[in-house]
Amino acid sequence: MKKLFLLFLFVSNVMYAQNAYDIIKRSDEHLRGASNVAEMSIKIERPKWSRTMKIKAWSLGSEYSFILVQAPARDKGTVFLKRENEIWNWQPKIEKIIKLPPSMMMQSWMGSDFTNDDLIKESSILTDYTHEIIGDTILLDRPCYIIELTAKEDAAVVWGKINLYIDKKDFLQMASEFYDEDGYLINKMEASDIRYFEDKILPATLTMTPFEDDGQKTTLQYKSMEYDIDINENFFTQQNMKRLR
Amino acid sequence: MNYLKKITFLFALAVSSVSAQTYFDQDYYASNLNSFSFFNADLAKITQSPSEWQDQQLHFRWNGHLYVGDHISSQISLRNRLFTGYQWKENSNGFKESLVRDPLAFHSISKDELGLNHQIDRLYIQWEKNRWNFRLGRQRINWGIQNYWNPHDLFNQSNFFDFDYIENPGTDAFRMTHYPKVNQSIEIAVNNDIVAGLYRLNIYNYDFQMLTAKYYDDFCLGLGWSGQLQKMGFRGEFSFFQDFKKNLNEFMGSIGFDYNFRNGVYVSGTCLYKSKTNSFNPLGLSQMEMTAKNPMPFEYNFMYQIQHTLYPLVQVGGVLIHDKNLDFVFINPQITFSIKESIDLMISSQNTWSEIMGETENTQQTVFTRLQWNF
Repeated sequence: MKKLFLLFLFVSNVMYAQNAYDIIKRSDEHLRGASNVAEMSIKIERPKWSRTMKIKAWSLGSEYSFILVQAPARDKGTVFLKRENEIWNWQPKIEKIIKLPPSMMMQSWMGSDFTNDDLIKESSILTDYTHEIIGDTILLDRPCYIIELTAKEDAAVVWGKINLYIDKKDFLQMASEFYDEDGYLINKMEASDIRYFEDKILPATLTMTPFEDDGQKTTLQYKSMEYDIDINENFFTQQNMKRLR
Repeated sequence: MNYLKKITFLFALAVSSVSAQTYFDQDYYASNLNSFSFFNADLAKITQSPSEWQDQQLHFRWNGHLYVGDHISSQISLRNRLFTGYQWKENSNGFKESLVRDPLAFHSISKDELGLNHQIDRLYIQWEKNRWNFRLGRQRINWGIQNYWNPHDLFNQSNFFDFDYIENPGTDAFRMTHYPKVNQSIEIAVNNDIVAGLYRLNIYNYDFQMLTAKYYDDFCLGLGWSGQLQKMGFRGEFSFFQDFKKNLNEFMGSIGFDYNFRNGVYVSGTCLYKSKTNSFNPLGLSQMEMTAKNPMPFEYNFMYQIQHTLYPLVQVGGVLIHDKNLDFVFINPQITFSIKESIDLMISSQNTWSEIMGETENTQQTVFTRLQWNF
């Protein structure tokens, strides 16, 4: 009987974990589509100043992406390329491609509250973490699952734990809480301005707020988003890094 | 000068004659660089030089890009600099002549107290289709895979000490690039003195490159890589030169590591070995002529770098360079402020200690301030 009970516990835990995984997978697929291209602005806000940058990003699944910096003028034309687990940076002023070390992923994205990993997505919320539903809540009138992601021991990831708040109806990522390896809350990301881009519903604004720094935030706002564009993995090459405009 | 006029006329003609499928893009920056130099007092007496002086430079750079249809493009870049101060006035180390050795450079104003110099350092036309790219004209051919000190940079060796010229000079060459596969490329480049080929390959999460060249009177073979050890960047760049006229061999190679700590501190370390040393002038570092055979003059050259973003608007850093015996030590602290969206202020200092007549002397200290506006 005891063995049967333990087996039941094991099976139910696996099923719960499977559900959490499926929810995140569906949410991730909804956000990315098979492929997409988006233009966005990123505004860094502090109590006494602000800076804005503009970027254009292409992605194919979670394995391939390009980010082209369009503004400010100082960084215009800079490109980041991700192919599977490798990342390169094209610096047009010195006409050089630099392969970035993995430790670069935990750095701030050009002075913002996003890390390089937040934008380039080297780590995968699907494969680098274990998943568990730990509750539910309502955000912006949308019922949400709260799913806890815990970094796998051998995963090369920036965050030790992430709590994801995923909308039960449209699988939108309404909020995320990022914890370091010691379990301290570092950043919180909140979604807002939910609207349709073509026929897909998405939050147009994402705000990243450092937990311990009052008056600081970085706001990412999508200006345009196209899904299922005609690109394949051969688009994401070092040759095309130099051609993007 | 006539050559320059012809070039400008041809570019203007090209811009005005192309059809509606064209797209023209341009960007600029302007900067004001001031330097305050302090020279070793004993050396100043011996060389009858001043022990301190100042230089000023206003710099305006313009980059123009013309795209014609899907396959043809061209670039022209113009470097304009207005000089005042000691170096211009006294023509120290042949400063004025060094600015006009290039046929695409000239002085439009050359008075005792003030000079205005212009140089076209990019001027090429490019045809690109599918996996092929052909480029003809003045261009930067940047083959280094290391962060600094690149024996593979046969065409445009960069001078670390000349920090105000990040773009580096161009070379007048023809270059063909072919991408046979997603993870491979083959480049062949030719100019008056160099015929060279470079093969690049990405495999096992490493970028590798192999180089072969006829470089002036040398045959050259090279191997380089860029990858990672755990989370640390790991790069290497090696070259072997054989002078076929003098039958002399030279070998050089650099290995470097870099790492970003969680708190945002970036550190890197590089060592360059050369089998043959070269003479150098510690008083003219920024004008030192660097080549692929001489990225630095000593047998063992070490560089350590640290950078940290104190605050999103403030970046601090420092560089230490020295040789094996500490006969040459160079320390370069630097701080950069973002004053406005497109305006940056940099304060930097280059401090040099050199071995002179058996003693290590603080030879020169220079403090730079630079205000740069990108638009």
